[in-house]
Amino acid sequence: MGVRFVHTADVHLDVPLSHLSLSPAKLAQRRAEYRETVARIFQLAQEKGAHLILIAGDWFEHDLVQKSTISFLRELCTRVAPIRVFIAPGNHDPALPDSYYRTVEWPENVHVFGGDWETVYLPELDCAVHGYGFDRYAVTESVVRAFENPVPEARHHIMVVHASLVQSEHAGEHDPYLPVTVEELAATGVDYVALGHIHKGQKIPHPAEPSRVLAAYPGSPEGLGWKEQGVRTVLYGELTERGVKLETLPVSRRAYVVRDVDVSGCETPEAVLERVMRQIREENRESLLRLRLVGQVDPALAVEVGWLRERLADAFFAVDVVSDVRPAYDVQQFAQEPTVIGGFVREALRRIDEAPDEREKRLWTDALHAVLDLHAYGRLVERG
Amino acid sequence: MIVRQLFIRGFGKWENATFTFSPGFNLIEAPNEAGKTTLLEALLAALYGLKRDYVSQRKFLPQYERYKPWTAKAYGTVVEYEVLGQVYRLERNLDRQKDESRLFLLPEMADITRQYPQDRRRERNFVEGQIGLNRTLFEQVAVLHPLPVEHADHLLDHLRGLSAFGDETSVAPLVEALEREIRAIGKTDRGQTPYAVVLREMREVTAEWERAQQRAARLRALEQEHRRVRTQLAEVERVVAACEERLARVRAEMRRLDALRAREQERQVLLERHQRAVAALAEWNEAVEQLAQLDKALAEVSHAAAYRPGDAERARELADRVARAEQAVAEWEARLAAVTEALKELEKDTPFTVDWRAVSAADWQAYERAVERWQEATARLAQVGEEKGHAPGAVDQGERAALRGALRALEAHQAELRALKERLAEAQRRRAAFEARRAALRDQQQQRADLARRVADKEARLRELRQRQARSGGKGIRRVGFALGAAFLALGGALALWRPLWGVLLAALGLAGLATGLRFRAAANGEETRAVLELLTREWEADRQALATLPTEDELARDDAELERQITEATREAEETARLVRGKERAVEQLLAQWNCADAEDFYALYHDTLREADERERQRLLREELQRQKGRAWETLAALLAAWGVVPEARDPVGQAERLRIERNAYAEAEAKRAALERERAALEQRLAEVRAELEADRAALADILARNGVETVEALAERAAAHRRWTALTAARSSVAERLEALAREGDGRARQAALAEVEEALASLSGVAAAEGEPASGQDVGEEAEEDPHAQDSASRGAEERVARISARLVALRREEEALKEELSRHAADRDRLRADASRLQGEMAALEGDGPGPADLRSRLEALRAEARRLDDRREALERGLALLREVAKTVHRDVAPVLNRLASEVMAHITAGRYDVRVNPNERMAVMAIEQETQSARSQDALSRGTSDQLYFALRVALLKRFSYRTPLPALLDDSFAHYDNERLRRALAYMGELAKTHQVLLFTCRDRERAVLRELGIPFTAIPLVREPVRAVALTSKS
Repeated sequence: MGVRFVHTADVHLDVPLSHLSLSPAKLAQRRAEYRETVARIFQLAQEKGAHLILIAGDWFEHDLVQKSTISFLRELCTRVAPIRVFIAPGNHDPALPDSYYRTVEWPENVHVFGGDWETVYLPELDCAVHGYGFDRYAVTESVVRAFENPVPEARHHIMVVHASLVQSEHAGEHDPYLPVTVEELAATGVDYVALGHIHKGQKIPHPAEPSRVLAAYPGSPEGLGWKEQGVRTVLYGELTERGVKLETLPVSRRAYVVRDVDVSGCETPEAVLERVMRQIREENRESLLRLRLVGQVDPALAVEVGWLRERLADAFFAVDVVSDVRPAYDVQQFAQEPTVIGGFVREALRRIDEAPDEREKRLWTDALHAVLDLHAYGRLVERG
Repeated sequence: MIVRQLFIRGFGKWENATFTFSPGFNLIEAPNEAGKTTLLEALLAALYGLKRDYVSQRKFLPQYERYKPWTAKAYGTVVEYEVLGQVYRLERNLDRQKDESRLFLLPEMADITRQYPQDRRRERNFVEGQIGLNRTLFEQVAVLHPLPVEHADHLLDHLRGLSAFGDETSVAPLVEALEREIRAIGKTDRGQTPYAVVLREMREVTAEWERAQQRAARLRALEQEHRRVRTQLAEVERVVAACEERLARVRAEMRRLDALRAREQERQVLLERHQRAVAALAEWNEAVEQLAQLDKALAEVSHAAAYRPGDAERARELADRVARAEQAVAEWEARLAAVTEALKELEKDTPFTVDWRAVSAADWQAYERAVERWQEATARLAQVGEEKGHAPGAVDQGERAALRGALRALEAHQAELRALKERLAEAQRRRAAFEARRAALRDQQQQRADLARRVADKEARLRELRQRQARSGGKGIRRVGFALGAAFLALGGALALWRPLWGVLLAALGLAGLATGLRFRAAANGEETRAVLELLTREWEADRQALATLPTEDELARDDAELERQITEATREAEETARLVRGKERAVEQLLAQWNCADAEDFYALYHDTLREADERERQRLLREELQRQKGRAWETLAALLAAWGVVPEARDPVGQAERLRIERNAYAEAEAKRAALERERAALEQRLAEVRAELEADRAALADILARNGVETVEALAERAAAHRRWTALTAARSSVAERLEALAREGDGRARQAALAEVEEALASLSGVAAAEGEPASGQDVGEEAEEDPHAQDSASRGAEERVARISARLVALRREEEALKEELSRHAADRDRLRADASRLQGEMAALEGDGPGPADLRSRLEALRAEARRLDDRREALERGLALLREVAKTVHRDVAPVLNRLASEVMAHITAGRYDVRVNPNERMAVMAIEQETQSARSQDALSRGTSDQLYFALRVALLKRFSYRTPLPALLDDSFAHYDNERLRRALAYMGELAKTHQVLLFTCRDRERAVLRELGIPFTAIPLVREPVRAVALTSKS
């Protein structure tokens, strides 16, 4: 008989959602949606007849989580019994002495791993669940290397840990919180490592047997920013003698969507609005939508993103408008003039070219456009 | 740019005034204070308003306050001007409250205000946009002040821009706009800039976020604490339950032992009751016996029962008093007999010569006074009698009369002499006063003479002036006019007869001549002469009035003569008096010589010595006579009194007689006093004796009565009876006490009852022993864990056994109670712990609940904070971009163009060559705040500005200003405004400058304000066309004559 489990991580309950600029009511609704997603994951576990729910860290925000959220989670855990819930706290919800993991009485079916390797042997499944939880905000040492299996005789071995897989394709994007290599994971000898920390879902094959999955990041089950677009998922797995079989299940309540709108040729703000409206006609109204205005526009055209945001606010659950439009100044023409402006444009273009980073490039571009605006119109033209 | 017309609604002194200017040379000529500078300021305000440049908020120039309308209600201007062929009409309301400006395009009057953006000062760049200069720079460039240039930096920026932009635009507005935008974003948390607002809100939210975080941390800590408390509480509750169980066991044991001890105690009580019953029966029997014995004793003393207590003591006392009273009566009777004897003795002898009883105290005193007076008179007579025979002599009398006469004469002489001396002094004082008055009079005469001379002088001058006035001015013309008029008239009259037309013409000419004469007569008097004349006349009048108030010369002479006469008289009188004084002094000397005295003091001494001797002798004789009279009167008095008392007065020794009579009288008085005392003592003795006898009788009767009542003969027998009575009383009391006790005992129970009670107790004891036996164990020593081997049937030992058992049970109970107390204490300690923990738990829960509901959640706050941080970052970036743009622009402007100076110098040199006729050249240094320097062409030597004459210095600045004007006229020729700029030029310089301006006026509008008329003359002379702009002149007040003198 195999072991069935649901694997999730990185829910980040009660995370601040400042990038959405939501009204208080919608903000509260959006926060509730994160809780509903957790409830759906638990329900999924029940429906699938899972034995275990594995939560690989960053379940909630230690500093920001509301007591009511914790009460909600405890209630969920109680309801889901006899399914066993294993939690390996991450860098956002470390099991500090004052953590709710430590102060609240969790039901019997819940086990929270702490700052040492722990193993829970489940005799009915002949399965050992090994886990390590963050007991501080940062764990920089390679904890996995120190793992020793106290019950090697058990039939199944599952490991739950919040860790960043170094030398993977995400290297450098994440701080090395509990850094681990795939080789180190393979060396533990466990059948499956339920990982958390990286918000994009991915499966890590065993280095020795590439056909076999050794570990996986389930991804964040509900998007947390503009980079986490589309449907978000959890993993459902069955561990048997033949290895683990994973299934990706969509659970997110709402998706982040980013769209570029080319507003070239628009001469008035109204025209811009119309162009935008035409382009997003097909979009899901429930989405969290970001519109990026692009293209070359009349230098005199003021692109008021605030105004656009207001006009579109009712059409979607959340709309963000950013502008990347470029004024149609013929800078090369300016650069050829033997005047101060000519000299200025030449010099500014050189600096944009030589900018070491995006910010520098943007600042010099803005400086160039500001001077040209003032030169041409005696005022600055708003372009978002 | 050509200013066509300026209408002033209200600006300084100007109100509803219109000024129309021509495109070329305009000359505005008016005296000082006529409003030229105000007009110039009004023109600048009309074009640019009155706000400061280079600021990002509305701030007014000092001119705003300075040129507020004096009278007009509106503070505003309308200007019509032409730029590049377009004619504009710019209306401005300058009032701070109604600050508004509107620009119209003429002739269609199209409102084009909104084509010009409004900046943060609420100002639109009408003129600035059209000509490229703001107000500050326009003022520096267009107004050709002969002064150093201000705001040279900004001008330099512009000049650089001019070079760079090919005279098309300037970099300075760009720099300015960038600076403005940077300021608008803000850099600190002060003010209302978006950056400041964000920073402040961020600070607030951060504080709130920190509080929320603290709350969350606190909540977590509380949760931790709550968990700890719950664990402790469970432990304590278990301990409490164990304690309670142990306590219940101890208490059951205690209840069992309590029952056991109660039975033992009951047995003990019964044993005690048995003892008490035996004792009670014995007590009863003893009382009955006692009563019988007492009854027997009482029968023995029954005869003393009738005795009244106190009789024996009373009888003893009465007997003592009777004995004492009898002794006192005997003593007093003896004393009375002695007194009576003494009285009789006193009555026996009365050896007095006078019946003193008949002599009153008053008569006696009168007699004694008479004797004293007689004695005193006799004594004094004896004193004065020694000088008998010294009567005053006749010689004394004559000398005294002569002395008195001389004294009177001397006094009279001296009085007269004093009067005469006073008269002399008075006369001298009068003369001195008269002389002082004469001196004052002489002064007055002098003053009057001076005044009179001045009046005469002024009269003479007045006369002369009037004559001159009459002669001057019109004199010649008048005479010629009259003469010619008369001649022509005569000739005309003559000709009229012959040639009427020529005659009439000539007559008309004659009449004209006459009229001319008359006019000059009326008008030719010089004003100056008239003023002097008036002043003189006024002064002359004043002097004349002063003279009139002074006395005339005649009066003064008369006063002088009178004073002279009085002085003479006073002198004469003084001399006469002095003569009399000398005569009188001689008379006094003669008189004193008669008495051989050197002076009056000697004479007075002589007079007083002589007179005192004579008076002393006379006085003693008179005294003796008076004393004789007093002595006679005293004798008469005393003789009369003695006769009345039947005594012969002794003429030889009345004093001795009086002494004898006084002794006799004193003896009489002493005997009288003694007799009265004896009489009083006898009366008192008799009264006291009577009283004591009465008391004695009463006491004897009372004593007899007491003895009779008790049936005894003597006081001693009565005492025995009293002793018997005391014994009887004691026995009676003892008996009644015993009887009472018996009665009391009977109330508790009589003999039978007590026997019955004893029997009952004995039965109960037997019954209890039966119960204990029935329970199987004797009152259980074994219960308390000890053996009790005792005989239950023996009363005493039973009692002792019961006591020991009770003691053992009690000891066990005490131990149990101690254990119970310890348990209770332990329990209460644990219960307190439990309660405390429960309270802690509920407090923590309450606190957690309160914290949960308190304030916005940390996530929301963090969300807000992050949004604000993003906004602050955005603003930082935006400012950073603008700052980079600004810095780069400046850098480029600096590096690309450095050719400002040559152009400016070329222009300035042209001007300088023109206006100094090639004598000087000029060097402008734009980088040194437009400093200027002159180069003398002849020597090619540089001369700094302060080494030049004022005129040349002014020329230097003129050249610089014109150069700037030309340089900045790249869009449209700017007008040249000159406000008395040539004031320090000599005529030659002025000619050259105006000649140059004439040339300039062909391309630039020129507005020249001046207060002198030489500019007009030079322009005419040079043939330069100009338009004179009249300023409405206010009437100038005529200058009063008096103010000139």
